[in-house]
This record gives sequence, C-alpha cells and structure tokens, in this order.
Amino acid sequence: MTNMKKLILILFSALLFTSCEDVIDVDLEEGKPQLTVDAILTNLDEPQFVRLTLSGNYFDASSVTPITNALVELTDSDGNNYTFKSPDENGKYELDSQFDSLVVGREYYLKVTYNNEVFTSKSVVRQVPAIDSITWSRENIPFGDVDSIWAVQFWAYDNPGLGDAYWVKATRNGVVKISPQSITVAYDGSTGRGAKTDNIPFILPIRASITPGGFAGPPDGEEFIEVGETVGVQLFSISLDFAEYLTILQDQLNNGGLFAKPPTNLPTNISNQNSNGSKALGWFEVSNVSTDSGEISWERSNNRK
Amino acid sequence: MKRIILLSLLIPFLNLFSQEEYTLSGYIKDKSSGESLIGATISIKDTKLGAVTNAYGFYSLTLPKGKYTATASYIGFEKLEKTIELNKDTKLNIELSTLDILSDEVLVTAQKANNNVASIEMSTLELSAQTLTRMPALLGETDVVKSIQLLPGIASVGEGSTGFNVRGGGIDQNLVLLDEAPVYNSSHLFGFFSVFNPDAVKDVKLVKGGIPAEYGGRLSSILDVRLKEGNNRKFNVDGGIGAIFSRLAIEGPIIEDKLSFLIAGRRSYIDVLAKPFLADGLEDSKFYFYDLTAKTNWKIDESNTLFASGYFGRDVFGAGFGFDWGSQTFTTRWNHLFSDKLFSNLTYYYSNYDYKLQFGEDDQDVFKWQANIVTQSVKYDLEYFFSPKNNIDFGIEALYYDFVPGNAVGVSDGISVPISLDEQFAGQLSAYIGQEIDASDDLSFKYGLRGSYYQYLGPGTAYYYGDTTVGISKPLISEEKFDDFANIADYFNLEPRFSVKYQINEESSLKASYNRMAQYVHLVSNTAASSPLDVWTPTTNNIKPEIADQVALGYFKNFDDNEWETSVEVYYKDLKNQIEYRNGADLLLNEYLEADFLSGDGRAYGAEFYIKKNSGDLTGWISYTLARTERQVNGINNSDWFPARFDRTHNLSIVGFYDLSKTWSLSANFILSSGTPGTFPTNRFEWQGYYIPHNEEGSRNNFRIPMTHRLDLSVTYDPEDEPNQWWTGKWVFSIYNVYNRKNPYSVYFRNNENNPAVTEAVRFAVFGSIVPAISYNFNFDVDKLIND
Repeated sequence: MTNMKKLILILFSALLFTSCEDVIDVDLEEGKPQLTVDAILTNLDEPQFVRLTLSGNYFDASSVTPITNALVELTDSDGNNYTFKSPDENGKYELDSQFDSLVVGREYYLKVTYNNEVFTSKSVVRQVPAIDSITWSRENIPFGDVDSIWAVQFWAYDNPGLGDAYWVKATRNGVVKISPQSITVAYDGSTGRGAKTDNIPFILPIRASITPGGFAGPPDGEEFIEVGETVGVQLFSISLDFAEYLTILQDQLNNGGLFAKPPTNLPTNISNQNSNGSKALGWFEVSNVSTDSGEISWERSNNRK
Repeated sequence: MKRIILLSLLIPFLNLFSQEEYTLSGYIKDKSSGESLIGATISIKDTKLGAVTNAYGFYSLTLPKGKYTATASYIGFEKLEKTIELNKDTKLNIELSTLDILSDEVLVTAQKANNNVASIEMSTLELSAQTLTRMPALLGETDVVKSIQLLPGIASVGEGSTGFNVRGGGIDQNLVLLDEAPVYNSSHLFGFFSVFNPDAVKDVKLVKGGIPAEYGGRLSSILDVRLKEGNNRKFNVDGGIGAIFSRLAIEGPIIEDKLSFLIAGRRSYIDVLAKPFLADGLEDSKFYFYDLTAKTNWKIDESNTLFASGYFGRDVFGAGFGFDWGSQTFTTRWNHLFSDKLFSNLTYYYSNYDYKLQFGEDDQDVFKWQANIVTQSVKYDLEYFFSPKNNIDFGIEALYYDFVPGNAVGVSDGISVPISLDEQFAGQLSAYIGQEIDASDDLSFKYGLRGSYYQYLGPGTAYYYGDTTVGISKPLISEEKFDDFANIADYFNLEPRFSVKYQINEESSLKASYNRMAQYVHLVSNTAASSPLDVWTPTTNNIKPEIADQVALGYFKNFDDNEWETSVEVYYKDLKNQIEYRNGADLLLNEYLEADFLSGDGRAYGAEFYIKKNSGDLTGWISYTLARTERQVNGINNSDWFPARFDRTHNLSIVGFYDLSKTWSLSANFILSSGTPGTFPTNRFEWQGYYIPHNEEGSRNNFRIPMTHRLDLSVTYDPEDEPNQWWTGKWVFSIYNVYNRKNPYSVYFRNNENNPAVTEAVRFAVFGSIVPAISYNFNFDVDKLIND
C-alpha cells in the first residue's frame, strides 16, 4: 500500500502540469558528525563486511569520512566468534570468512568500539522462502515512449505465519540495483504494514518490482530490459524493525511535492552502552537471502528447469 | 454586571406593569426575486431601537404602542421607510429594491453600514451574494473560499491545498456548513475552487472568534453558507462559459410567491484543454470536477415555510488509475412561527463525503479502496425576541456519525484479499442557550452556554495500547468487541461563550469575547497538503476530543460617515488534545492507527488589521495579520514548542476595485505572506549505497521556506443593457500570478537524479507560471424573452 500510495502521489504532482521544481541554494545548519554503522550480513557468495563512517554535512559528499581506527567484534548466541581483516581506506571491515549458511533462530551480536564509546546491536536470523522461478512477458504500458516492455516477475510464497518481512532487491546482469525509488519492502507477501495476508504468492507489485521501470517508466539513466539481459532477484528475509527502517528510508528519499511528509530521521538498532553518550546511525542485520535469475529471451517465458 | 443581567431577565415581565406593547414582525426580502435577506436592518427613527433579520430573513420588534417610522436597509439595496401605527401586533413584510451600484445617486442613498461597529459580532466576516460578485476572480471565476482567504486571520498552506487555516487552526477545525449540512472537503481541484457555486449562494458568514452558542463541533471557525431560495417572482437563467469550467443556474417560481426552485451546475474541463500541454504518456489523464446544487422552498402560509436543498459534487482524477472523491448533502427544514416573537426552525440533514481509489484495470490484478463518512442530524433551533434589547436563542441537536475508514480489496493474480478497516460509529447530543442583551445604550452582551455530549458507539472493536518510548508504535495490550449502540467511550464538554461590546460613539466601539469549543471528529493527515487519501476519524477511547479556548479583543472605528471601515483585533487561542503522528507513521489502511498518534498542545496568537473603503470609484481593502501558531508534543522536536506546518508570520492582502466607467472595471489583488516552516536536515550519512539526510538535533520545522507573493489582475467588461434586452452578459478576463513568481509551496531535499551522491534542495511551486483565463457570464430574463 505504501508503495502504491507513493506512486500515486508522485503522479498527482506530475499531473499538475503548471507546477515546477527548481534547485535552490539553502544555508543549512551543520550538525555534529555521528558514527554510522553499515552492517548487512548475508549468506550470499560475496565478501561480507561492516562499514563504518562518520556522517558529514548535508550538501558535501566528501565530508562523510571513513573510520579506520575502530574495533569491530561479531559473536553469536551459539558462542562463535568471527574475526575481521584490517579495515581498508573506505572504512570497510571485511569478515575473514563468508557464511555458508545462516542458522535460523541464531542471534548475532555486533560490538563496535570507537572513540572510547561502545556500541552494540543484535539481529536474529529468519527463514527465507526459496524462489520458485523468474518469469517474463511482453506487457503494454500506458506511459512512456514505448508501447510495451519486458515485464519480469519473481515467484515465491510468503513464509507461513504472520509477522514476516522481506527486502526485495533487483539485479540486472549480476549487478544489484541501488535506486531510491526502488526500495521494495514486503510484509507477509503484501505491501503495507496493515495487511494480514499469509502464505500467499507475493502480490503483483512486489513480484514485478524487479522489472526496471515498472509502471511509470525507468528512472533516468536506465533503459528498459532487452533480450539477452539477465534479470534476477535477491529476497532478504528481515525483521519487522528492519522493514520499518527501510520503509521510512524510502519515504525520506522520495519525500517531495505536494504531499510531502515532515522529514524524519531513520531509526537505528545500534545503541550506545552508555545511554547518555553519543548516538549512532545505521542498521545491523544478518539476513538469509534467496536468489534466482533468468535470461530474457523470446523462446521461453520462465527460467524453470 | 450581575445586577444588570438579572434586571434584564426581568424586562419581559415588566411588560405587565408598563404601557402596552405590541410586536412588529415580518420578513425583509429582495423585491425582484423574493429572496429573504439575511442580516438586514430595520431601525426605528428617533430611537436607538432596531433589529437585524435572522438566517431566514425574519425580524421581530416589540415596542410600546405608538406611531413610528421604520427604516429597512441592507447593503446593495435602496433604503425603505414605512410609517406605522402600532396599536396591535402587526405583520410588516418589507421588500427592498436593488441599488444600481453604478448610478450617481449611490453616494446619497446607499446605506453605508456601520454594522461592523454597531453589531455585537466581532471576528466575523459576512459576504452577501452581491458582495461576492465584486470579489476578485481567480482564473476568471469568483470563489467563496478564495475570497475569504483575502481577509484577516485566514491563511492557507499554499496553492494547491484544500481547506484554509483560521487563526492558527488546522484545516479540519473549520465547521463548513452548506444550508446547515457539514461539508468535509470544501474544495475542488485541490483547493483551487470551492464546492460553493456562487450562482447558488445567498450569504456567507465566517466566524473566527466570539462564536455564538448556536454553533459547535469545530475549534477554529464556522463558515456558514446559505443558499438562495430560488427566485419566486420570475424565471432567471445565469451562466458562464470559462476557460476552466462552465456553469449554468436556473431558478424560478413554480407557484408565484409560494413555491420556487433553484438548480445550479458546473463542470470543469481543464483536462481537455490541457491535453496538448501534458507530458508524453499522460494523454489519457482525467482531471475534472462537476457539481450540482439545488434548492426548493415552499411558503405554506405566513407562519410556515418548508425548504429542501442538496448538493452533489465529484472530483475525478486519473491516468491509468482512477481516483475520485466528492460530497453529497441533503437538508430539509421547516420554519415555524409560534408567535410574532417565537421563531423556530427544525432541520434534518444528511451529509456524505466519500473517496475512492482504483489502481489497475485488470480484474485479476487490481487494488480498489474506498472510504467515507456519513453524518446525519436532527436539530431544533428557537429564537425568542423579548424586546429589541433582549433576545434568547436555544436549541438542541442530535447527530449520528458513520465512518468507513477504509474498505479495500487487493486482487493479486486472481486471489482476492480484502483489506478493510472496521466501520466506526458515534453519536453526539448538544444543547445550547444564549442571550443577546443591550444592557444600556452603550453596553451590549451576548453570552451563552453549549453542552455537548459525545459517545463512541459500537458495533466495533476498541483497542487498548500500552505506553512506549516515543517514536515507536504503542504496543497493543488488548482488544474488546462491542455490540450495536454500546457505549465504548463517552465525553461531555461544557462550552461557555461570551461577548461584550462597548459603543464609544456612533463611529467606534470596543469589543471583547471568549469562547470554548469542543471538536469530536479529526482529520488524520501528516502530509504537507491535505490529500484526498486523508481520513477522518472519530473521537475514541484513545483519541480525546480537541478543546480550544479563545479570547479576542477588538477596536472598530469608521470614518467619513462609514466610507472607511477600520478594525484591529488581537486574539489568543489555547488548544488541547491536538493530534500529531510519530515520526514515520503510516496512516493509510492501518488498523492500529491510534498506536501512532501523539497528543499535544497548541497555541495561536496574533493581531489582525483591516482597512476598507466602501464607496467611490475606487473601493477595496487592506488586510494584515501578524500571527504565530505553535504545537508542543512530547517526542517531537525534543518536546519543545515548534511552529505548526501552516504558521505564517506575516500575511498581507491588498484588494482593489476600480470602476473605470459604466462598462469597464478593474480589480487587482496583491498578497504577500511569510514562508511556512519546513524541517531541514543538518547532516547526511551513507548506508548500503544510499545517501541519507539526517537532522542531528531531531528538530521539527527548524527553518522557513522563502516567502510567497503574487499579483492577480482582472478586467470586467459589462456592456450597457438595452431596456428590453432579455439577455445580458459580461466578460471577465483575468491573469493569475502576473509577474510569474514561482511561489514555493515547500522546499524538500533529494538526491540528484543523475548522480545520487549529490544532494540538493528543491523548491516546489504549484503554480509556476502566469495563468490567464477568460470567461463570459450571461443572464437570461425568461419573462422578458417570453414577452418579446
């Protein structure tokens, strides 16, 4: 629901054809830099790392500085201790080894010591459904310069039981897409926290979210999918709190126009052991991920074996 | 003070001991149409006695036996004098002729009202149909709500916002009434036009303070719109063809002087005209509104009149999806005169505001959502006119609310998933009594007491939440189901009202007032502009009634025999139980919505300055308001006071009308107002490849966006009419935003589309260009046509 509402409201603003937007200069106050913990660990076959930076001034990208002198420790509820390599100049602390598999129900504890302050966080691993398949077909669209596009969907069932949440990432030719308009979060198979659906196939807007473009046309700089390209999905099974974080993130990055909401700060699950100490930003989550991908072609419409 | 009040309550009984008194009563009407005139004055020459007609045009004056000269007057009409020998209860109905406002005699015979000084009312703006036609035309059309926004104390969040803010109150704090039925969304096309068709409107009254006891239910203002009854003398057709919309109104008698009707409709077609300008791909979009206003009234006999009126309107918006919303109201009323001194009105009304959304056209994959709120009420109001210096009004109202906050179904791949929220019900019972009294020649009082009792009713489920640290949804502790008409939660509020006027001299007065208001329905919205997706919610076991206490003080002075009107008013309003939302709350289709609500306090204060020139070739006014409105909510802005979303420090409107000649006239309006507050970030951080804004202080509305100012012009060409001409017409040509200023509606922050690492501040303006418009307004006098 939230995604749909967002889309509708964006379209509202677009339709008020005399409205306009200008980039202007604004003098902002400068706030104190804060420790930012970027720690999303998965079972994917790629290097796993925790990235630490300091927040910077809003307009100045270079003012976000990496932290290379902190101590990062990771343990779990079964008593395992995970070691990190030395940080690189981007503030990335890479784990010595990847996770072959993540045990469902296991709790992971992250501890970051920086500037004489200790920050901790924890995350519980959840079950993730397997992806059944990827399908694709030509669909007509009401907008855009073209009449039809390749619409790609992934198929999977929501876990039985209420209270599941997922982060859906799209990949294209092996590269994960990072775009503020396409942070897709599902609650029990649907969008919107209020939904009480369960164990259904993910609903159409979620399934089709991996198509570059979707309903309104691809974001600037992107092209529609062509035959021969590979479109894939990474389905993260996440905690409800993380889903909340991502939903607010998407809201905040797309918060403009006539129906803008008051900007809010993202929540965080990184806490200072000293509750009167400085506050940290970011999120720590250990997540089971299912993946799948398919190569678009005319000969077949899905990637089932 | 107490002694005077007690003594004055005895006045009616003193009749028995003093000379005989008789009552002079009747209706004051417009001679050409038979429409009753609201707020017309009848004064007795050589005395300070007089009366003002009520909402149905009725007046009642009880005087000692004798011979009098009564003068009836009303703005825009010729004064009429009548000599009467009052030796029994006499019915005197008076009909006034319209003044030819362009005639040279205007300076001699026009009634220059000193009502603003002499009336006990303060903080009240009244616009009759005549005055409305002289208002500046936005996009070629005059509009009720757009006109009142040019008056002191009234602001809006910006262009494109529905609703208006009165003395620092939210848009849901105005009780907007159309022939007594409440209207929940008074706008079409996102606030550019109101639902009130000027062809059908007789009188508009906006009360911002010193609200009398007969009104209740909203905190900040009452916008009481009364429809014309329908010309009961002759058929009349009025219409207009314009660039944005066209309108047609037909009125006339069914039985002359007894039964008449009025039907007025409008339809916009801006989407049709805009097609060539729309971006590629949006050609199938629809964006239009239509509305129909109708009324009929039946004068059964001298003591009984029956009215029925209704409104039906819709806004449609879509482009590959469908979105429409609208209101329907229906009111039926019975005026009954028990005696020459006791006037009564019994009303039943039905009001439905609904909104629907459909996304997707394929039945296998579609999302449909609808919500609505139905209000029904029976109310009985009585006015007892003891004497010219003393009247009492009292009444009772029973209301029933039916809220459907969201009835939705999502069909995904053929699997239908109903996602609905429970229907909610509530009932409200109010009773009031008020008295208006002239304690002496210089001192008048109007005071009253209103009591309102509200019940949140079953069938339904009540949710009980626990406490939590602010910023997180409150946890649900328990749910309880209730049966039909069970009392889930109830509240009672006493709302005292008081105003006093001290007449310094003929041309100036001092007024003061206090009112307490209680509000039981709330608009849930956390967006900058109110979108049609915003939901109205009743007071529940979790949401308390909103309360406001307002004091106001004003000085009113007229100059040059009422040619100039001036006033200064200061006010302070204290608000309780104001609803705010926790950061990140998702308000749509959320069953546990109340878990995300925060309750806070508000305060609004300001000074309003007003100068108006009433006659001559150049007329107009300047209105300036200096004000502040703030909220304090635990958990937002570190629990400190912060400015409300619609806080505008300075608000200036300059409106002028200039009659160039008998056929050409100009009008201009210039507005200037401070920027509204915005919440701006202080830092950015990086996470998973995203560049995210952050406000390190956790503040709300810490900055002001740039100010707004705009000039609009319009020219009216009204050719002279031949005496036997059966149609008349006039052209209105207008330019909105003459010097093309991109007035910022909001400033928001985003990542650059091409390079997300670059962040930028964006000024969003709704009307970023000059908008010219032209319209042709015509009138057919059907009788003349038939007799031709």
